Amino acid sequence: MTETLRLSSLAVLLIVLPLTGCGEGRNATVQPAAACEAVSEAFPDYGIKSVERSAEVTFSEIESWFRVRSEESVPAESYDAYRELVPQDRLTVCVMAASNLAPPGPPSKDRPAADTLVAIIDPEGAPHVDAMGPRGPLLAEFDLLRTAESDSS
Amino acid sequence: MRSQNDAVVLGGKDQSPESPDARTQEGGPNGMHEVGTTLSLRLSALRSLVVLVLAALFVVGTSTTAFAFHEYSTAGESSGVGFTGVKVTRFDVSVSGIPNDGCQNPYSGSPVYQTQWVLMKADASKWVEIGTGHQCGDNYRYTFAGYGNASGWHPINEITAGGSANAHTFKVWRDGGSYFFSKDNDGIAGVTLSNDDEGPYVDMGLESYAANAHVDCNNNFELSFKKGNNSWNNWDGRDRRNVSHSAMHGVWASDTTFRTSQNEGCA
Repeated sequence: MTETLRLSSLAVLLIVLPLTGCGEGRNATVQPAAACEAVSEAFPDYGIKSVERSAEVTFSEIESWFRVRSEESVPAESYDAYRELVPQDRLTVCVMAASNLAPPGPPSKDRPAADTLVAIIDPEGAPHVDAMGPRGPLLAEFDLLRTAESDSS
Repeated sequence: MRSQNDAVVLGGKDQSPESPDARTQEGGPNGMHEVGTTLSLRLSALRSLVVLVLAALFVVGTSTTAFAFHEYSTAGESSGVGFTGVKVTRFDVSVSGIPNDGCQNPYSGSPVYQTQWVLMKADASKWVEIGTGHQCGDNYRYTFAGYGNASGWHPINEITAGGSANAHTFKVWRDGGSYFFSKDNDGIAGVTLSNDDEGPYVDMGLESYAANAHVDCNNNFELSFKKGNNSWNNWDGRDRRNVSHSAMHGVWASDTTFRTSQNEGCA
């Protein structure tokens, strides 16, 4: 009987965990933005699985995204795609789970494998890869961006 | 909500808990035997389930391992701090054995990188990098430039790389508050980053996501570094060497030449 209970518990656990999305980091409150579909189409090799976060922002907010992200000032002119933009132009930021990212970089035991992609869709609808890295830090940066935006509004 | 139709009929006999027959079997004269039989059946079913689940986990784990190959053969200069640039002359070598994946987008599939970087933080949380990516059976070859921070890799630009016939000089260096990237003195990218860098070391060499890639032993030569806004200097001494896997090989030929290969010996 004890063995039955143990096996039953294990079986229930093994069945229930995937159903609850434990470890998948699902976010039921975020609906995939239609605009983010363009990212999967443009970058089929990345194995994009889902949209974790998305938001429509102005270009001026993207500039704050850069500042929030890296605590660095990354001038917009560094990015050819954004040279022609004006502050009020609207862009879409897509934070997406991806299974086939292989970015370069020095070894670091503190840096988890890249499983998340950040893409920015310009006003013409063209997506640009902005970052690929571990999920936690990228989502935290996105949330910081939204917090900063709501604080300033 | 269970309905009558939910009862499962096996061999023409209703075995649902509501079935009189089922209740009789558990409470009748042969109840203990029947309970034992039922338990055995349940145990067998559960064991089968567990075996299936574990087998699935094993398959997933195996496939994850297959994709997890990410190894290095690099050398570096780390005497003192304040590094702001690294310069390497090398060929864009031919690489065989790369899977035919990642054929459309950089940094995907199973790339092999010939690469170099300037570390800006000792914990490798911030760096700038230029290199050559090989993907899709080496039919997709590109020169790339970008930077990394704690949140990961930020690509700035990629351009098509040519054949393997000629040597090229790759540089990334800081000038004022900006970093610049060039191949044979042709600018590829520039980016402004904060100027609080420690610059603990510079590295160059092979980085591979393709376990079966074959890279012939090849020279990375005229290795130079830059500190602050000073001019370029030759690497001096043999400070750093990281060969992380038995498939990777790397050996110093001199203080300014490091030889690398994968799945082939290098002497």
